[in-house]
Amino acid sequence: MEEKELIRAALAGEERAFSLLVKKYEYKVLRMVLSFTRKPQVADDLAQEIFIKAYFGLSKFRHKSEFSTWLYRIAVNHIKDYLRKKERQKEVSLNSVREPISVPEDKYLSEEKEKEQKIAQLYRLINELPEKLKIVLNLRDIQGLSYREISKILRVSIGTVDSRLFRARKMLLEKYNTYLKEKGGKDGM
Amino acid sequence: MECKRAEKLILHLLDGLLSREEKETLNLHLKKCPHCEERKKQYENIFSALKKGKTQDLLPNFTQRLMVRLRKKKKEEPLSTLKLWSLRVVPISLLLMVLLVSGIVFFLPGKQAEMSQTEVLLLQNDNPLTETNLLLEEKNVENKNMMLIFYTSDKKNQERRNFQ
Repeated sequence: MEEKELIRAALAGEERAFSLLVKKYEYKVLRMVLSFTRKPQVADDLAQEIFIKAYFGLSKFRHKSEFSTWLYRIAVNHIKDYLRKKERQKEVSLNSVREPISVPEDKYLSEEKEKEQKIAQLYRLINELPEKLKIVLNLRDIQGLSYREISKILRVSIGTVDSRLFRARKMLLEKYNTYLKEKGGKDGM
Repeated sequence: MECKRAEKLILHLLDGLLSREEKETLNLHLKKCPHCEERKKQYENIFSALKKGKTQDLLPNFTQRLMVRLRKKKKEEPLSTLKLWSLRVVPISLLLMVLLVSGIVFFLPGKQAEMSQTEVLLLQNDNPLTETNLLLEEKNVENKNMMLIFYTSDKKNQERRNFQ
């Protein structure tokens, strides 16, 4: 069944049609949420809330954009709300706490593990970026969306996407270089 | 080319957005500038790391769990919609009532006051004293009585007399 038909059927109350839509997008949405929270349980919960919002808002979907764009917009807004709420509650997320700079106990830590550590650090550093920059970087460099898709999701111009992305990447690189310097290591990814 | 401009071009290059001319200009700069060349490598490393980034293990049966939650939510939803409506309906109906009552009080046309014969004559640009004068000037008693009967047989005057 085509996406449009699935949407129509879901609107008519066919649960199976909606579950097929969920199946199609669950990985993308979960991956997106996970890159913001890095906590599978929280990400799972947020992703479910995003799909529930999409279900109850389906009648407002006018087919003016792709369904994926519309769904991503809901996801981005929901994540923004979550991040703001988290900020308000002053929850110190584990992600925002800089990893203590210490020499690993195991000096013979495998190269693979070190790479994984560095990737995890990159995600932590992304979460330290300002909200707008974090979102645009996530959509482009983690989700792999095009500039045009991002501009539609965020309802900003392509020029704005470009300038935010430039600032975000530059800031991330500087933070990452500082981290490497403090750690006294080289970038070996 | 300035290094700042080169950095922007490096990022566009990695996004696959550079034209051939821009690529050539950038390459010329990169050959001369080890700082930008190093920057390019660092960006490449970061991008490939983010793409490779292992997604943490997802919890199983996402769709099934979601559908169960959705069914629950659907059962709750009509109730909450009803509550929301009842919250809106009370003030709206009160407002409508107030508007209706004030409309009745201020805008309903009142019973038009009946005009006296004199007023009717004045409106018709007639002299209201003509009939009275004629009556007073009449010497013949019989005629006078007839005239009186004739004038008072007028419907409106009759009503007024009964009312008084």
